[in-house]
Amino acid sequence: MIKEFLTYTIFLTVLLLAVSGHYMLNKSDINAQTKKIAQLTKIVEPAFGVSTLENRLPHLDKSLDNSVYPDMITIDRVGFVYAK
Amino acid sequence: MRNNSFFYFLTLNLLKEKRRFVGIVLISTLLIFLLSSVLFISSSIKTTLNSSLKAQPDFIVQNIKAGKVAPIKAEQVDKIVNIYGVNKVTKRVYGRYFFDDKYSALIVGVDFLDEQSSKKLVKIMNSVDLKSFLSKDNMLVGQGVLSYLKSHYYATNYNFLTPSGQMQKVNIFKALNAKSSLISNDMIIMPLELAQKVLGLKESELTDIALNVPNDSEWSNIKAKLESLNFSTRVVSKKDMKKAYENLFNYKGGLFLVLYLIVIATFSLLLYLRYSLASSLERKEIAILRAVGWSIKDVLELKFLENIFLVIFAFVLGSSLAYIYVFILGAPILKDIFLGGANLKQFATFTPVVDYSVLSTIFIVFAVAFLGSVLIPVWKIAVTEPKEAL
Repeated sequence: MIKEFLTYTIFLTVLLLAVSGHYMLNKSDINAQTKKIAQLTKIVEPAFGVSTLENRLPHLDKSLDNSVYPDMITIDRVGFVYAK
Repeated sequence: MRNNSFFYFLTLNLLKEKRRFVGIVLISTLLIFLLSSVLFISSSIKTTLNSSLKAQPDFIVQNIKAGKVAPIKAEQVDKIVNIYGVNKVTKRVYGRYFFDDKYSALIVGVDFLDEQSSKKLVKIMNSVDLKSFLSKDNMLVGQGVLSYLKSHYYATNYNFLTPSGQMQKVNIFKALNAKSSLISNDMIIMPLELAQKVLGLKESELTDIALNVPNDSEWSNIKAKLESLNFSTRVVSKKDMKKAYENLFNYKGGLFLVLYLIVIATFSLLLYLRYSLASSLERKEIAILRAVGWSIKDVLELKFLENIFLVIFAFVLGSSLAYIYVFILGAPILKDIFLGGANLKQFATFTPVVDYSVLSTIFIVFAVAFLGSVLIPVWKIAVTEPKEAL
């Protein structure tokens, strides 16, 4: 085996050992902390920043209210588009 | 054939023309890095949520009106407590509070007068003074909420606008540990009565009721009893919740797996084309080896070992870099795909979890496709007469 190949092998081994070392020694308490919050609140819903799990609240639908002209329907409303 | 000189020739061959392999190794490393990162994130979130799911009550009783969850009467708690085999019946008050159109927090009301809850609070907030917490309108906030409030100049308190139009001033008592951000990032914990006020619920109203049934074999029986309490009652079991979360992550992880398979197929096709249209130099090399007496098996063995080294190199490098990226650097960019970046700033970190079965599957799928697309064209060249190949 030539020297350069050995160097690459040693590099990979060191990288692998470093990662394995981190995995074995880094006893993170993330699970324990999360569990404590879940035990207190009895809620395990993940804090995702997406709206798929949230309720669709009518007051957030901007097409439904116009603070300046409450009676004016916005043009993207189906009722307005198909009005004769 | 496998002796020192064979390996010397093999390594010499590999490193002599490094440029030939650099592109292949880089693309392979990138592919493995991306897929490993996605699977590391997915399995880490799954593990954390599964461990916290153990704290989830066995059943949740909700009141449904027009297909949506409506407040449930607190008097239902007494009816549930009277069902034989049920314990730890907990009133739950929670709901989303929208700071504006885009950003929202999950307000959770906890009955701190309950001995169990107050003990758990002390456990969470090291050296918390429960008396001073309950003496005023205080709240505990997640890291995401704290960061949002600070950026809006609410460093010590926040004025909630209740549905009745009144302002409710609540002090920020302490921030929840950043390590629990996976579920507490957008959470605000406050006393039950205060949460009812902020969410616009009456004193006799709750969001839902949680309960435990210690005897597993009683689950279906108790569920039927709970459902018969009211026509509008919906009972959600822990099993349903677990399934929903698993589906969510399998769906996201699966989506990436499908994309990966498409990419790996394309990559294999490119490799196949590269080797089947092998340059005259490579053709010459194989023909010379055959001419000097190497058998087809020897040539294939050389090419197999040459490429398995490349695969191993790319795999170890790719998966190690993925580990560093996810568990040490916190997976910037990719994190947002899983946790979402639409709401408050995410502070969640991932607990290191390595799923060996997934990693070995990636290796096998990748190695088989890689070696297949290289060895077939090489074999085609090796079986032709050296004279013809030259």
